[in-house]
Amino acid sequence: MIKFKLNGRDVSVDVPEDTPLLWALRDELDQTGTKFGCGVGQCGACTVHVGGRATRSCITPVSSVEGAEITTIEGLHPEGEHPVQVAWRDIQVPQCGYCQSGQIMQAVSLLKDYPDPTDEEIDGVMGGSLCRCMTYVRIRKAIKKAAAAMREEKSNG
Amino acid sequence: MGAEKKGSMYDGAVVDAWIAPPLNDKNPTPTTWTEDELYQYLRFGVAPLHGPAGGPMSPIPHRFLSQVPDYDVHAIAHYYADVDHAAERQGHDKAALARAMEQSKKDLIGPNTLDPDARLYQGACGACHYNAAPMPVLGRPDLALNNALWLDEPTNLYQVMLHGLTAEEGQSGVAMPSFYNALSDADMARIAAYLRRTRTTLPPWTDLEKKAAEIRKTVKTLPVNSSH
Repeated sequence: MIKFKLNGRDVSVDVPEDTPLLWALRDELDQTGTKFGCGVGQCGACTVHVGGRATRSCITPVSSVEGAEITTIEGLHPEGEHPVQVAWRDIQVPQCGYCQSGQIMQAVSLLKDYPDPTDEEIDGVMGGSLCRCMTYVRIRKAIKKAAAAMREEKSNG
Repeated sequence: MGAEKKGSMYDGAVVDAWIAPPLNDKNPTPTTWTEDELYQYLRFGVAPLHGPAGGPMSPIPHRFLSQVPDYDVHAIAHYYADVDHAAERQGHDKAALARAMEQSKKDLIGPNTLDPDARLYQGACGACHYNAAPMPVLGRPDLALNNALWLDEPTNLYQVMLHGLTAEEGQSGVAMPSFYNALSDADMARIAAYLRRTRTTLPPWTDLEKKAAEIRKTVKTLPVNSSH
């Protein structure tokens, strides 16, 4: 049994130690918001947070997150109202949507590291998250909008 | 046979297919192992300007030095900062850090690069290892500062690529994926050559693909199953 915290609650999965975290999340824990993209850590669609840091779940062994805190797109906010999710909806970022939970998880962690990100910082962190619909321009716009909203939230206490 | 070479004290050696880097002033990392860097590394498993403890070193902070009195860890850090002559060397750190921050962003910002090696690095590694000036973010280990790129062989770089790091190892609670199935020996060789070329000022490594295969052979248990 491998135990960790998923979206704030304790979970355990009975799978081989070398099972990719992505499959434990999707097949054992029914959290299907996280998507399988390339399967080789090259596209970002499967991005979740491990200890608050964006991590590609398709090549992360579930045994390596024993005891860690995992957040998936389902756990970002109980009503889907995280400022990044709100900005994503306002700007209507997704087209087909397949890569977008990974994009959002990567963007949330970007804003933790760089709360007021420059274009360079957005490129540096988001450059490995691929979108075949080419929603990149709207992703950049939504990140800046979310960043502004989060700064506002902070200054209003 | 098995005797200590007194003249090579703290020069480093190969242990369990990992390189234990020099602890004296031959240590090649761009910024100095100061007392504070040593303390952070030994107590918590990650040094902000050097990176996380991996492989056989990881249990030392996490299962041993996290359990002993704090002043003992400070004493060890103090001693090794003396061994590596940190006080005399750390004057160069500011410039070394600035150079690393310039190197860290190469090919990850601005117009898309056409260098296929840079694109492989961007896809597999950049999202987590990119840093912006003036300082690396804790949790974004900066490869331009990490000893894995500055040692004479790519051994430790390959080990970490193949194994990743568990949430217990290195920085507590965060993990690095295992690229065992994701990168071939040729892919690993390309990334190693690229990083050595763009994130250090040292001459290229040699026989990179062959060495990737050799290190892969030392991995006894498959770290992660193929997800496709």
